Amino acid sequence: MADTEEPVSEGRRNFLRLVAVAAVGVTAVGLLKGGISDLIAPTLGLTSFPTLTIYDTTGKPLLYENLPVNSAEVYEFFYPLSNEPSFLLKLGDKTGKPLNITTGPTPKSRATGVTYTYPAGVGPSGEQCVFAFSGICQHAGCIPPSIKYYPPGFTIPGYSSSYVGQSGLIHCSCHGSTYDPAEGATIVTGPTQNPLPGIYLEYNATTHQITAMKQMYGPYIYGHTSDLTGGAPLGTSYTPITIIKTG
Amino acid sequence: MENDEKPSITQKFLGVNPVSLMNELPVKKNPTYMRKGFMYWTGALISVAFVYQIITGLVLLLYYNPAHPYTSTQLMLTTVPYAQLIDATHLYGAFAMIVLVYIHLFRNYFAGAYKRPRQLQWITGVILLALTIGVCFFGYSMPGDVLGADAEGVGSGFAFATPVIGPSIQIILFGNGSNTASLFSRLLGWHIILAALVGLLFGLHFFMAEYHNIMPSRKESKDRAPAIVKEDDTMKAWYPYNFVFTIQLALFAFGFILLIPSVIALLPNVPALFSPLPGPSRFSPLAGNPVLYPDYPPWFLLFVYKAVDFFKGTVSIGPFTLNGGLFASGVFGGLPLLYLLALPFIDRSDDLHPLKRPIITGIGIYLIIYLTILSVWGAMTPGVPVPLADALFVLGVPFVIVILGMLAIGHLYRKGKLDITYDKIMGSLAVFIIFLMIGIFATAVNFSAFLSLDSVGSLMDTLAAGAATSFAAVGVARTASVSYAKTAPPKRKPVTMSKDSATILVTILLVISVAIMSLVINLNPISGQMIFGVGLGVDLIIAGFVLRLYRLVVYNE
Repeated sequence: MADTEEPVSEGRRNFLRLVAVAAVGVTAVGLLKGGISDLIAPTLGLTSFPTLTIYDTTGKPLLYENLPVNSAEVYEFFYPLSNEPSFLLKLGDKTGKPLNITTGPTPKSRATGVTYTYPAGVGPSGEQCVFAFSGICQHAGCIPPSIKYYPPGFTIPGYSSSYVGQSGLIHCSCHGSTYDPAEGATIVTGPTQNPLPGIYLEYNATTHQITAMKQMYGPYIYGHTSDLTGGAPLGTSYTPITIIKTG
Repeated sequence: MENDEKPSITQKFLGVNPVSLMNELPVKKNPTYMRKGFMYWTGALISVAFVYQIITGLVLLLYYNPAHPYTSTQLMLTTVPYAQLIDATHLYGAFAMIVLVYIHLFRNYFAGAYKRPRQLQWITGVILLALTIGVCFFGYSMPGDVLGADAEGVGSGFAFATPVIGPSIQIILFGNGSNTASLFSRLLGWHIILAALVGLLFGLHFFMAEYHNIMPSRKESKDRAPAIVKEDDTMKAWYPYNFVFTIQLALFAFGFILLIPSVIALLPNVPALFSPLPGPSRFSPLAGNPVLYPDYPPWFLLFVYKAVDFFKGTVSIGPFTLNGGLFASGVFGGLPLLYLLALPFIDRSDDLHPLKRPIITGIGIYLIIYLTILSVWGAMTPGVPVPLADALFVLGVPFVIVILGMLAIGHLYRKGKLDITYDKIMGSLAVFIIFLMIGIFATAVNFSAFLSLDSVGSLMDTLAAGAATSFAAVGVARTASVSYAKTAPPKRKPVTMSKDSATILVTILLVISVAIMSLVINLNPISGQMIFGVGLGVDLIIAGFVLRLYRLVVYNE
C-alpha cells in the first residue's frame, strides 16, 4: 500500500530532514552536556581534619577492649583521606601488659633536624597505649603489609640492629626502614629520614570508642603536599578497620 | 542524495563519499515489512542497550576505586555532576539488557530460529545469555552496598561449595580475602573481562546474523527451515532506509533506559530490590534490617536462589560430598541452560510452525512458567525450606498440563482442525500462562502450608487453587475451541495518517522537544539530575517518533 503513494516534494523532504536532524540534535545537546559534565571531576580534598570514629570489621564502633594488644595482624584504617592507610596499634610490653605512655614522645626528623612533639597514648587511665600512625613508609611510600608492626618477640627478617623497642618495632620490608612505635614512630634505622606522621586520637571513657580527629603530627604523609589534599574524602562519619593477615 | 553523481565536498576533502561507504557496509538489506514494530529487531535493541552499557560503564570506571568501593561510589554520586543519572541508568540498562535477552531468546525459540542454518548462532546466543547474567552479577556487587554484598555473599558461597576446586574458584573469582581491594578489584576485573567476552562473542553472533540475515516472516518461509531472505533488487538499500530505522530504534531504547530509572528515582518508597541507586553501606546499621533489605540476590538470579531451599543436608556423588541446597540450585539453574544449548541437536526437523513441534513449544512455554514460579516463590518466601518432593510436585504439574495441552492442540492442528491465526493462538496461550502461573503459585504456597501445618484451612486453599488452575486450563481449551469455530478474524484497518498531518505533528514534536530541553538543561546537575533524566528520556523518545514519522512521509514506510 505504502509503496504506491506519491513521493513527497523536494521542499517538504528537506524540511522534514531538517526537523529530524534538529530533534536528534536536541537530544545530542542533552547527552553531551550530561556526559561531559560528568567527566569533569570536581576538585576535592578537605579544609580541616575530619572526626572519624574507628569502626570494626562488622560495621560497629571498635571498642578499646576488642583491639588486641601487640597484634601481628595489621589493623589498618584510612585517615584523613580515603587513599591514606594508617596503623592502629595497642602497644604492650613483652608479657602483653598494655603500656602506659602519658607524655608525648618526641621523634626527630633527620632530613630537617626538626623535633616534633606527638600526642601521648590514649586509653583508660593507666593503659594509655593506643596510637595511630600513617601506614605509608616515609622512605619510598610502601604500604601495609610491606610495612608492618612486629610485636615484641617477633623476628624481623633482615633487621640486624640490637635496638629493641619497649613494644616491638614497625619495619618496612621494602628497604629496611625501622620505626619505634612507643617513641612516636621515631627513626630506628634508615634509609628513612623522617618518622611516620602521627594521628591525634581520642578515647571515650564511657563508650570505649576511639575517634581519629583534630590534627596530625610530624611530616606530611608520604607522597602528599598536605595531609588534606591529593585524595578523596571518605564522606562518612566513620572509618572502618581492615585487618590484614600477615604470614 | 545517495544517487548524486557529482563529487561531493566530503569526497573532495576526504577522498571518500561517506554516503557510498554506508552502502558498502557488510550489512544485508531487509524487506520493508520487517521495519514495522520491533519484533524483528529484538537483537538490535540488545545491541543498543549494550552500547549504552559500555559508554556509561567506562565513564563510571573513571570514578571507581576498588579499595573503597562504597565510599568512592557515594562520593561520586554526591559530588560529580549527573553521576547519579549515569549510575542509575547503567543499572537499569543492565536490567533492560536481561529482559531483552529473554524476549530475544523466546521469540527465536518459538519461531524455530535455532534450526538450520542458524544452529551455531543459537548456541552463541545461549552462551551470551549466561555471560550477560555473569556480567550483571559482578556489576551488581560492585558498589559495596548491602544489596551488592548479599549478592556477592551468595555467589561466593556457591563458588566455595564446588567440590575439590571450590576454594580455588572462590579465590579466582572473589580474591583471597586479604582486604577490601582484593575482593572489589576482582569484582571489577571480572565485570570488565566478562563484558569484553560478551562484546567479542556478540561480534561473532552479529556477523552470523548478518550472514544469514533476519529470519523472514512465516508467510515467506512457509514454516520450513532453512528460513532465509533472498536479497534482491526490489529491496530498498540499507542506507538510508534501515539506517534511519536503526537510529529510530536506538533513540527509543536510549529514551526508555533513561526515562524509567529517572522516574523511579523520583518516586517515594521504591522497594530496595528495584532502587536505581545503591543502598546503605554493608557496614551500616540499616543493613541488618531484614524488612528493608532482605537477604536477596538480584531479581534476575532469584530463580536459582529458591532452589537452595529444596534440598537441605548434603548430597554424595561418588567421592564428593556437596551442599544439598547449592547442588539443587546448580541443577535447577543449569538444566534449562543445558537444554537450550542442546536444542539445535534435539530438534532437527525442518518444521518451523510452533504447533508442528508441540513438545518443543510446550517446553518453551513451560520454561517461562518455570522461571516465573521459581523467581516469585523465591521473592515471596525466601529461605523457607520446601521438601524436594513438594517442589517437584509444584513444578511438575504445570509441566504435565502444558505438554499434554500442547500435544492435544498440536494433534488438532495436524488434523487440520485448528485453522486459526497465529496471533489468536499466542493470545490464548498468554492468557493460559498467566492463569496457570497464578494458580500454580497459589497451589505451591498453600500446598507446603498444608503439608507442614496439616490444617483444614490450607487444604481448602489448596483445593481452591487447584480448582482455579483446572478452571483456567478448561477456559483456555474453550478459548481454543472458540477460536477454532471462528474463521479468520477481519483484518484490522491499519492506522494511517496523512502526510500533511504527519508534517505538522513532526513540527509540533520538535517544538515540544526544544521546550523540554530548555527547561531541564540548566537544572542543578546534582539535585535536579533525575528530572533532567526524565526530560532527556522524553526528548529521545520524541526524536524516535520524529524519525518514525519522517520514514512515513519520505520513505512511505
